[in-house]
Amino acid sequence: MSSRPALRQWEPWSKLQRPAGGRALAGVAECLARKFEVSLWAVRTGFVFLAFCGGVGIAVYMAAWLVLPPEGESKAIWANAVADKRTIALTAGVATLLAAVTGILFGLGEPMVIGSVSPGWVSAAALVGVWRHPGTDDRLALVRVARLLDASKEGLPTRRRLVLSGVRVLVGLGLLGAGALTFLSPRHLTHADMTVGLAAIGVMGGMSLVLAPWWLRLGRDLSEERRQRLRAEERAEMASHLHDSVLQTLALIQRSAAEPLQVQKLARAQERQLRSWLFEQQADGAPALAAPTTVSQALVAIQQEVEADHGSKVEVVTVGDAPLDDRLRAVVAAAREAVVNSAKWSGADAVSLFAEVEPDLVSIFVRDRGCGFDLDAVAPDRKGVSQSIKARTRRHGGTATVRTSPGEGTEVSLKMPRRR
Amino acid sequence: MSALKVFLVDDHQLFRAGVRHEISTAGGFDVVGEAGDVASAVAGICASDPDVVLVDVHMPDGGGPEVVRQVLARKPSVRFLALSVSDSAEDVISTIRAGARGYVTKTISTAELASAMAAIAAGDAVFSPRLAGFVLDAFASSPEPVHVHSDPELEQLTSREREVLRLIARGYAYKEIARELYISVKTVETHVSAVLRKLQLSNRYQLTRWAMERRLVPPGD
Repeated sequence: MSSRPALRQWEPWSKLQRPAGGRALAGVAECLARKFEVSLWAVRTGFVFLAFCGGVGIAVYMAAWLVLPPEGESKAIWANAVADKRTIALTAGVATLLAAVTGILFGLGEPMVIGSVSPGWVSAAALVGVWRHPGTDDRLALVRVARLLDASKEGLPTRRRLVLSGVRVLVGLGLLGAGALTFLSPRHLTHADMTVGLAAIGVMGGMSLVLAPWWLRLGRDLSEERRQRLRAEERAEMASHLHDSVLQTLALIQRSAAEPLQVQKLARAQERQLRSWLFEQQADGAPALAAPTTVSQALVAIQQEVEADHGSKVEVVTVGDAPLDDRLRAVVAAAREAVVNSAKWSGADAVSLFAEVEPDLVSIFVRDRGCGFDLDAVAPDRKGVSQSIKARTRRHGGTATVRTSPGEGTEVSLKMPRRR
Repeated sequence: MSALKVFLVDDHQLFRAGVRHEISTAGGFDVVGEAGDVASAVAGICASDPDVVLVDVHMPDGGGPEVVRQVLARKPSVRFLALSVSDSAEDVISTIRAGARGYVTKTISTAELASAMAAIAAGDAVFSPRLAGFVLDAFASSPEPVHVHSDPELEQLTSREREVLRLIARGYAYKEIARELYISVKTVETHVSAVLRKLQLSNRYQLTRWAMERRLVPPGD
């Protein structure tokens, strides 16, 4: 295609490689199109045309698939195939069967058959080699073809599956009909015809008997292959996640080893993130930060935020849960203020955040074992407790009480009746 | 007072070494053995007769709950404290129901771990705030009689037990709870042990189902 940069150099044949991307099946046409600097579709059309000339196109394609190495690999499939005894044995077996079929048909007076013998042999032999020793991209192509043939595969949407099955049945019926017509129509059924028919059935039966185990194994190999690839993908995803998060954090920790507070903060944030990734299966690691929609999510968001910003541990316990409405948002915001106050001023290294959601009441408690303070001595211009916590909760119909005294720690209790 | 005999079960050798070091600095503990898998843990615990076993929840071949179950079948007097990185409800509940007397997460401080082990060795139950929250949650939904033979006493928490659990979840220590409720620390411990017993013996199916749901469905979905 025009978008493909044409190669400047006339490359030697030995340097030809089947490309990894942009291929329909094996990338043979693509490769030849590059080599001769012609349109990819011209090459493809050529192959299809030749395929109708007694199967020559198929044979050439298969042979090229066998001989041309895939991109990124030095060895062609051919080289691997001749090194494997079982492949050779299998090829020999297939060739013998084909020879038997040809022999029978020829013996029964079908001279036409000779013309398609050699392309058939080449294709079959090449197919055996390709199927047994595919490169990575070839394997993907084969799996794609196998999927097309096997319409029952679970991954596909129902409609596509139905369409595929329909196409398969139609094509099969068409072939059957065509075969029956050519066999029966122009002449009367003779004794020889019966023999041919029986012989064909016999050969096909024999072939399926011989080849059935092999086909079954191929199917298994392919699905095993797919399983392994899924596993590999999972591993890759895990590795990239660990790299993005854990390894980065470890690097940061090494660099700030002299500041224990910083190290603690990093380790805690990382633990939180990894934990939510592992146990809650949420890919981005910090889901609750995005947009909490329930009380428990909102409290986890507070925890993450405060642990990251202030380095205090926040222990969150939630009993029950409810979606956030404006009342609950208000009480959660008040709780956040209380947690931040504790983290900032109490001097305690941990803050407890407990919420209980009951059918008609939500209670939130924020507690620390820090220095505490004298409520009456708070300067009137310090709006934190009075405005953000008490007034905000009251505006929405709830209550807020603060229990503290110097040296005794602080507990803020928030109660918010729920809208029914 | 002689040192408490501690046995460590964790499949991470590094973590065992860390805990061993930690509790040796805390003082008053003597690590009598450690194991990294279920079979050797069961054999080792039965041989060394420890006062308290620190057991990890996630291990191959059934993990901590399996160790607890197998040892208790042979030696009912052994006391277990579950220690795990996981604080998912299912892990907590299954370990406690297997017979562990407490559950703390691995991020616990050395001092807290030491006092938790001492409490377990003395026969008390150790509830972390999170475990208290789980129990409240599990027993919160209206109790339905499940089995004809089930003991209705086991299927519900008393209001006092509920109060104690709430205070634990709010971050109160037993001593603080006692002061708050005007009861003795011993009474607090009695309540917690009663809750532990209910947790282990209750056959309300909600408990397991609740824990499963809690694990499978992220909060709020």
